Amino acid sequence: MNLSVLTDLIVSQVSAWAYCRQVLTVLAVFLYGYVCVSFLCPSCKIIRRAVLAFPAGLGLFSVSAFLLLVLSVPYNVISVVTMCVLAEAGIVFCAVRFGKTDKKAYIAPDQDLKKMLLLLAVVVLAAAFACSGVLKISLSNDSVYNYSFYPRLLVYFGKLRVNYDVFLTDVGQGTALINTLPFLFGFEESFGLQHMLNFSFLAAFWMALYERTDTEKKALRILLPCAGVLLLLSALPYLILSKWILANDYFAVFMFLCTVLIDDVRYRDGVQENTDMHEELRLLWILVPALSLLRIEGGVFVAFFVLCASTQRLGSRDLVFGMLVPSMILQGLYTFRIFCTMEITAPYAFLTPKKAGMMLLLMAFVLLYLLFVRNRRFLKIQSHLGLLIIAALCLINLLLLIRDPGAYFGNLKAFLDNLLYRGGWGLLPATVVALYLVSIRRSFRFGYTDLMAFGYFLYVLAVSFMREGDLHPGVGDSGNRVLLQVVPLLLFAALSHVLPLIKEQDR
Amino acid sequence: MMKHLLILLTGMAALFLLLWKNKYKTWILPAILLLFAGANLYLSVRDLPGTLPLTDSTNQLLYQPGYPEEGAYPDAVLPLMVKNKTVHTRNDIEHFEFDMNIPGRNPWEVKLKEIYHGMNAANLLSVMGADVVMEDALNDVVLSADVKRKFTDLGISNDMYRFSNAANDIPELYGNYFHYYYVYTVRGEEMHVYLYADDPAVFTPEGTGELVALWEDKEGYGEDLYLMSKDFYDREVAP
Repeated sequence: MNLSVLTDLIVSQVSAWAYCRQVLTVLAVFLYGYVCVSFLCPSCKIIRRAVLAFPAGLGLFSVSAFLLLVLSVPYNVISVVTMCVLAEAGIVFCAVRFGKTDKKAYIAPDQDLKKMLLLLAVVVLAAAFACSGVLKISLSNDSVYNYSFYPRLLVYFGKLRVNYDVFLTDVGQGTALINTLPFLFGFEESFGLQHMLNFSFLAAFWMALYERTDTEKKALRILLPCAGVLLLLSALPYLILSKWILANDYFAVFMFLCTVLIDDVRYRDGVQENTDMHEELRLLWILVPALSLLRIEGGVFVAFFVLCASTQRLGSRDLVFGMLVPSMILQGLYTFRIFCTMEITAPYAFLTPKKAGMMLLLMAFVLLYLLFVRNRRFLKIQSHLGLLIIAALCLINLLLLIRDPGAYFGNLKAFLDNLLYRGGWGLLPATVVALYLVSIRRSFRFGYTDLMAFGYFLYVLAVSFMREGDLHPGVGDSGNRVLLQVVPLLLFAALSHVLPLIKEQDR
Repeated sequence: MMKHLLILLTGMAALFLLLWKNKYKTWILPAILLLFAGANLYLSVRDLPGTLPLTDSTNQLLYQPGYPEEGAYPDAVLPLMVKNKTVHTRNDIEHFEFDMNIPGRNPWEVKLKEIYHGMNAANLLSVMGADVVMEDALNDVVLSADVKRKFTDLGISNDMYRFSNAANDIPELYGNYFHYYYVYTVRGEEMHVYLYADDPAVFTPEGTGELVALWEDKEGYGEDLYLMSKDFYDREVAP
């Protein structure tokens, strides 16, 4: 029997309806996110809403779905849709009840029907293209089992089960839940979702660069950000990240968006008076908790992220109640659920009760800092908090080095090996250094994105110790994949120094 | 290393140009970005296929076009073959108890097969959407070498079995040992899924026939899965 005859037959029966369902699901997530962005940030322009809609939709979906699972509510289409609608209704209600915006401005801010229809057409085309399969992808063992078989189990059993075992302790639940969408809505794979997220991300990347290209020459203002996006798209590590069907791409995009939303406010505060930008920070109430779920060590990253964000002019209330506490609640619920209620005692697991406890403790330390120290004590020291974070990360790394020099140097060697030779980083490390070199002429300021990007390297080195095993050189090693997540942010940080040079030129 | 040095030197050259000819910066900046993009693109086009195996995903399936030839991830296509169909399997689940704390023994090795056999296998098919019917009558059926030769190899199934314990109800501790045992020891011995699709239409999502799934022992640990239509089973296999 020729297998290709059978697979061709299967494809002919499946492809058309699976494609339509995937496109419709992508559009539904987009619309879901669009409503969310519109009510959270009513002053936001329609294009910006569209750019942020898909990630916001995925974020709100993953948090809603996660709550169903940890609260032991049966996980099926009806409960998921109900929960998502309730979450959205809550946002809409709060926005309308407490917001001061004209009601009409929520959905159609520009009142421009032509623009809206054009945008809708672009989104439909983007969804159709994302799901078409024209873009190549890469699958590995984790793609097939962690992000397809496990989501299939979640939908089939409709609950968390103790037998999921390594799926519970090794897999980012948020990403797994996003990958339940095919099984909830009747299609076979989630590649289109990842591609659509990448499209949104590239648009957000372009927009962020555009904001930082301050020149009166219109062509140049468009060309330079395009060149930046092209540089990202041509970079080997970004191609690896975006094409590999894993949690890393989702994490990288959310990490980038969260960081840049904060940096946007800082940047615009310095350039123009635009308090509307602060509305966009409300999206972090969704994106940051979702980020904490996308990978199993997400809680540690959120602690690091919020601490870095506290170096910016953000209210402690936003940081605490909008980002940190929701993430802590989600992590706490999950830890309680799998280690106390389900009593997972698997001998081989990445996330152990001890590590989960340490993760929560770390988040609690940051919470205590925000509540009792930030803007209250040691104000002089706090004015250099960015440097302090880097110093603290160096200290943590030093302590880990003292604790186990062999393992530390082994990890460090694997990292360098990956960055320079075997990790699929291509020319990006040299490109980033070269871009920083180009920008030296300008009075160099170690900004927030630099702190996030460079702090991330030290953070990953420290977090690698949680793995209890040496990192290995090679593109597929999880340590390298975690490191790849910083690629968009790293390149953006470098470009953020280069693009403002154009302004000096114009004078 | 030379490539990296070239990029760094280009960056330095751009810096000097920027310092030297102020008025040309409008063109130097886009040029340097496009130059870097070009260099990165060249390297990516050259190195990406060797770094990360890419597949065309135009078929809307997790099962990629090259997989039948590679024998990769047969479990990515199995759900499409068995979903919404009655699948007959052996009814030989063995309930077992063993003490994990007996020193000097590895009970999960001794009982490994019993852990997944029957229980895992049947549950796995159920998760894939099949309506599983476990029949005593199939317990003593043996596939002859002649019959086995008719089957086509769909690919290696070790990982499918490795994760199959997630679908059963045995104590999670055993399951965890089972899972890792497969990673670190049994992985070397290949298990396969074999298919005999005399009428391919039966195995498609719109197919309406019944199927038979038999797990057959192989030397050492592990079992191969033989999937066939009920008609074929009745005609050529049934005693």
